[in-house]
Parts: sequence; structure tokens; C-alpha cells
Amino acid sequence: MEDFRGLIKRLEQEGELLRVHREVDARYISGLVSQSEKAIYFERVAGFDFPVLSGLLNTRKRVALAMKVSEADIGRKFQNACDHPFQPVVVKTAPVQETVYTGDQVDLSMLPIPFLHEKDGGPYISGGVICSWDAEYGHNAGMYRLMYRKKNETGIDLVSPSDMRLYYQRAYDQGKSLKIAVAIGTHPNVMLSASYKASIDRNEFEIAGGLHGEPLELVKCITSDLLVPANSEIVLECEILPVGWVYDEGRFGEFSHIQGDLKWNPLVKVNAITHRKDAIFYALHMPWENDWLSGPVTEAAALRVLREASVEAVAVRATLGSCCYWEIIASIRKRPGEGKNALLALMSLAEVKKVIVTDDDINIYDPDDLDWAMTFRVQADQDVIIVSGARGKHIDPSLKSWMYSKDALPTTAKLGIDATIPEGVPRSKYERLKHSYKEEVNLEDYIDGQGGKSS
Amino acid sequence: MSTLTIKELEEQMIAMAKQKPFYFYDLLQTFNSATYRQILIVWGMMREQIEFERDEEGRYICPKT
Repeated sequence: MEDFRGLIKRLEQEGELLRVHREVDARYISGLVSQSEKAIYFERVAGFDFPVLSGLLNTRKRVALAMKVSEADIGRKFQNACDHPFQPVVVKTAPVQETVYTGDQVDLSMLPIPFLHEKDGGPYISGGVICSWDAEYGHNAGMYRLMYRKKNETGIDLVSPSDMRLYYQRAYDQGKSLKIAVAIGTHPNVMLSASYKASIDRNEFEIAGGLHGEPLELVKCITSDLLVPANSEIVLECEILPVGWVYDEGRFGEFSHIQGDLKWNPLVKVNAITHRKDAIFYALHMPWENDWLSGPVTEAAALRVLREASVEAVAVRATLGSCCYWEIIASIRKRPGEGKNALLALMSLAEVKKVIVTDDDINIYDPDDLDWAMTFRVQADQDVIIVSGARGKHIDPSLKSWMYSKDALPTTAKLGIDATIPEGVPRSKYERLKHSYKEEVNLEDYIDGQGGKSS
Repeated sequence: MSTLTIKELEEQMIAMAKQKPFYFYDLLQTFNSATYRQILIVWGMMREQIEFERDEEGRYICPKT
């Protein structure tokens, strides 16, 4: 099974990785990665024994490469993995436990935890897959940020509703801490499954197995019974202390591309650090990598609801401008009325607030082609749907959520645009012009001495 | 590379923290000659000693007492 470092090797072969040999100060990592079209492998980080990989999933192309699928099929592959999971298997020994630090040996400052954004509250571990367990619901994996505070202490953002927040709440109500384990440097298939809001009783790692096409190997932690991916680069074995939501955490540059507010959150105590002998630290580059982890998940959800609505989807795209989260564009093979049916289905997705549906002859990855469809196939008084009062997400500034009371959830309006050919308009009215002789002539033959063939 | 010892860096970072509200970024910029690892170590030591408050902008504030 390909692991994190196996993928790094493949990215290099594909020309998608830049190796930096020169020593770099970890404070510059975020700024350097933000200038690169490729993932960057920093071989030497001043003062640390760990190389750093960042920008791994900054593009749709690299997400698709990681998933071993075409760019158009990342959503289908994820859905297929949900439909055909593999139960993980537990192994007795694992590379990630080659080196172990416990008790007073634990010192997070040994890790090159980068400082990402100017107004962040501190250095952040941004790419950790966090494993937890609850007696009633079982195993859970999710992705949460950890803010470095002390050598054995971090903050964690547990404000938004999630399975792990529920696990922590249940432990907190009993005055107990919640054991967690943070896996850093896992294959994107593991991160994708952890990013997915699976039903609470579902083990996300079985979806990671579905993505890999074979069971994911897990190993038991040294200081708890939690199971973590055996081929991770680094694991932090921790507990979220039963202190409640009272410690400052953040600010943090969010996946919405906005500098988030200061939050109040629990504390995490680190009980052990384990890692491979030659471990690579993974610094998930915000916001792009976070956005692209949402891409396959959002697109899979779109395909799922279209299937439920009996609409034949040709392609779906979660747009980067919407953080692969708030907007869906879909092309469909339409029967009468299905433009609207598709809109209604896609607008039902929890966070999606803008939907465009068009026909199968439109390339939804080409903004000009999409604009053309929205220009000539849309009558605004008939083809635009607005739904008010749907559930919103605090992070969207247009909802003015600061005006709500602390426990209130903001609501949002949703917009749907049916850019399919209107009923009653024959398809022939959209016959595209074709330039005469385009297939028979070659411009290069006519540019003598300018790179063309001379006659 | 900083020529300051960890203890000296700690004293200087605490002195700066007591002057005015600051972002973590301000520490990095002010102590640019210290290695990032040194800053991490000292920041952890400072948080052991000082219960920082935060202002509305998220800046750290060193309590007066």
C-alpha cells in the first residue's frame, strides 16, 4: 500500500515536487510554499532533525494523482470508496513506533511546527488526522488543528459540531479527559476519509481502505488503546483535558481564506511522541490543501444526491473559489424538468449555498463555456431559485453571525441557477459554429521561419 | 544564528511582552536572529510562567501583576 513517503516519490517522478536542498528557517515555510506551484520538500530545516513536506494537495491535479484517478473523477472515486469499504486490520509493529518519547522526554519543540499566517495565535500542526474512541460510538477520525502552546501542550479547535466534539463533551460531562492520537504524515486517502463527515457509527478508516483498494493497517498506541495508521510519519499520543471551552485558541487562517477569530477551546496534553527513524513532518498548507481535501468529499455528496433524485450526472465540480465547499457546478444529461430537480437536490446539501446546473455539452471546468451557458440558457425570472433561511455556517461573514447570541446558528440564503437548455427550445438552436477547414489546415504550415514548417 | 542563550532570549522576549500587546508574529520579527526552534522553546517557557490574556484582535497581553 502506498504511504505518505511513497506518494512523495511518485509526485517527484510526475514533476509535481520541488526539492529544496538549501537549509531553511521554519518560519519561512508557509511564505515559500505560497509561491510554489509544486509541493515542496524541505530537506534541511534549521535546528530540526525532520525534513518538511508542504503543499502536497495544493491543486486538483495532485489530489487526483494521490487518489490515482482522473481530475474529473475524484468525487466518483470517493463515493465508490464509501460504497466499497475495506475494514482496517491491526498490526503488532509499525514504522511509526520506531522511535518513542514518553513522559518528560516529550517535547513538541523538536518538531518543525510552522508558523503559517501573520495573525495566527502561534505555530500550528495543521495536517494531523486525529483518532479518538467512544464506548458507545466506537472509533472516529477527523482533521483538527493544534496550536503549539508548551512543550507538552497544545490548543485544539473543537468549537464546531463534530463527532469528536461530541466524544469530548461526553467525557467532559463525566469529568474525564478524552484520549486522542494525532497522526501526522499520512497518505491523502487517510486524510480524505478523516475529512469526511461520516455517520457517527462509521469508522472513517474503512473508507480510506476503500480508496486504497485494500485494508488500512493500524497499530495500537503506546500509551492508550487507540489505533492509528501504522505507516504514519509521526504520532502524538494525547488527551484533551476535561477543562471545557475556556482557553484561548487562534486566531488562525481558516479554510475560507479568511483570518479567523480568537476562540475559546480545551487544552491538549501530549503524553507521547512516536515517529519513524527518518520521519518527515507534514505541514498542511492553508487554505489550499484544506480546500482540496473537501473537493472529493463535496463532489461525492453531489453525485449521491443527484443519484437519489434520479438525475444522470455527467460531471460535478466543487469550485476552489468556494473553498470546494459552498458552490457546486454540475452538468447533467437532462430530461424535461430535471434542471430544476438537480438544483433542488444539490441545494439540499448542508453547506452548499450556490449551485449551477447545465447540460452535458458544456465543459464545466471552462469558465467561458459556463458563462456562455448562463448567458444563453438562463432567463433570470424563470431559472433562478433563491431559498431563504437555510442553515448557514458561522465562518461566512455575509451572515453577520457576530450579531447572533453565542448559541444561535446563523441562517443563509441559497442560490440556484438552471443553465440547462430551457424546455421548448430545440437543441438545434444551440448549434455551435464551426470554423471552415479548421481540421484540414495547420497554421504552422503558413508561418515560414517562425517555428512553422517551411515549404 | 542567535548568540543569545535561551535564558537571555527568554528575558528579552518577556520584556517585550510586557511592553504592549503583541502577535506571535511580532516575536518572530523582533527576534529575527534567534532560530525558530529557540523561539518555540522560549515561547513554551513563557507560557509556563505567564497566563497571557488576549485582546479583541487576538494579540497577547501580559497581565500587569
